[in-house]
Amino acid sequence: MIEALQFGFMQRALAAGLFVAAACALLGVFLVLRRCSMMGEGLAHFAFGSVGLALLLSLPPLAVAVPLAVLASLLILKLPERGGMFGDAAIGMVSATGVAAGVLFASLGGGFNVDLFSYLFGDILSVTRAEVGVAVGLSAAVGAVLLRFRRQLFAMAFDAEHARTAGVPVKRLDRALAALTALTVVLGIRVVGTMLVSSLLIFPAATALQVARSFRGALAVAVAVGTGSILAGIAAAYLFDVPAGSAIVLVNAALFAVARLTRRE
Amino acid sequence: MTAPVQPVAPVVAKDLTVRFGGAAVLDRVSFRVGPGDYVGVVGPNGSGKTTLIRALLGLSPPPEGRLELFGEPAASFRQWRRIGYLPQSTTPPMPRFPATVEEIVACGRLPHAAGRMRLPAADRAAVERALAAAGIADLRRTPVGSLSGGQRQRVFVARALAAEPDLLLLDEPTVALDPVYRDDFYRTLGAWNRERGTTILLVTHDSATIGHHASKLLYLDRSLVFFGSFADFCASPAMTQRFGEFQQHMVCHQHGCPGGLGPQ
Repeated sequence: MIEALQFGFMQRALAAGLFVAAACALLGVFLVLRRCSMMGEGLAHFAFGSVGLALLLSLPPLAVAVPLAVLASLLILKLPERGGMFGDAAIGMVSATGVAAGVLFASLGGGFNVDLFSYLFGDILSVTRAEVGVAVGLSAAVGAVLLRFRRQLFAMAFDAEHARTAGVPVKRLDRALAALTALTVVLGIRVVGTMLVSSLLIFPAATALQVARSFRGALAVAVAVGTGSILAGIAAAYLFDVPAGSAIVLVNAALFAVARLTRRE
Repeated sequence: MTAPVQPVAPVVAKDLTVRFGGAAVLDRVSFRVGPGDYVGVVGPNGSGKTTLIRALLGLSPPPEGRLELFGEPAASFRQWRRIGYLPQSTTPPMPRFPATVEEIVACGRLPHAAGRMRLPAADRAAVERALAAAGIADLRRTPVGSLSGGQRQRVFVARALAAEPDLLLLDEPTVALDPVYRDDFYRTLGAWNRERGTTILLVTHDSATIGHHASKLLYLDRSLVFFGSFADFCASPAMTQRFGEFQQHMVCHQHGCPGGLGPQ
């Protein structure tokens, strides 16, 4: 396994995967505690449509998917405020629109091709040097923003009304959280694909909540689980010639099961 | 010679009305809470006590009339470091919420150190004082989800105290507290009021106890029925009309008021 690290594709996969997984894990803790777990799922499906549009127009997928996903995240927050519906309905509508648009664009582009398939299920072992640069830079930025505002985000996840009376700009931070989720989800698509990217958000956080006794501990455990699953998933992909994205998610599922079964009540 | 400067009143309400779906939950309520006042807010269920506290914090529908905090309209008030708040409901959002007692209490210092990555030493010291005042210093590393209802209530009392505010807004703070700690709690609150000059608005159904501690009573029943000292409360025709002469005298007698029955 160690000799695999000399290959460039393996180094790129690990760099992109570890940074994206750490950002997803941090973000996931806030999303799960704020009861917004499904936002990542909805935005990932929406991003599938955005990537389809980019491929149809022969534009760089990230350049198209990031702004569109950020707009969709704000729409998910606005629809319940103004449209008289609950948030999960808004997520469902945005998600379905994205998938439908993706299928339409793929059809217009001559059917599903290999490129679009790799965005559906991820292809971490084929990320380019430029993609690694973007993934590492943006993931680090997402992590830095989350850590900078962690105390306010923690307070509003625990008790949003009290947080407001302590001067926390709850609405603004909710919008920021949604936009960061959009950004992170798009970055995660190359790692595990649109179908599975929300698992990088939810699984590490859910596992951390089984074992952590403090908020600081929950953030640390989530990052350890997220990055550990990338290492184990990529190793499994190399050793057993299985799809890396699927291996990463299944490792996460196994870690959650272990944490759930061994947790102290 | 200049006239003495009138200190800014922490809370002023003038013809305050709050409506939910057209119905007035608070109806043309007017009162002024001065600096250092300790006000017990009492009244029957649905009388608007919690709505009053929430209106002050901008958590209710926009009120009609005038409502001011420290001389500023409550709607645009942003000096959050001057306010400590204990909400009525203090149930954690989920049983396994990953938070220690210390992490929750530290939320009370957010207005003081919002832009800091780490809580500065002065804020950590304020958290320590609040933990000690609430008698939960030994629980600091305990996950909040594993506490009993009474212990949890003390955590939220400590969160409000940690702000070391000029105005404490406490909504049913003694719910779930055992009698021994309830006495400690009132003693602590009294000391903060006397020694720090903290103004207190405390909503309670425990009107028998609050008379021992608060300097004023504010009796609401959608509109304002009474606002003044406990001695005046006992002699108040409005309260006598509401409770009947005998019951009114009984209440006051429990508190040794001049208006009460028994040896004077």
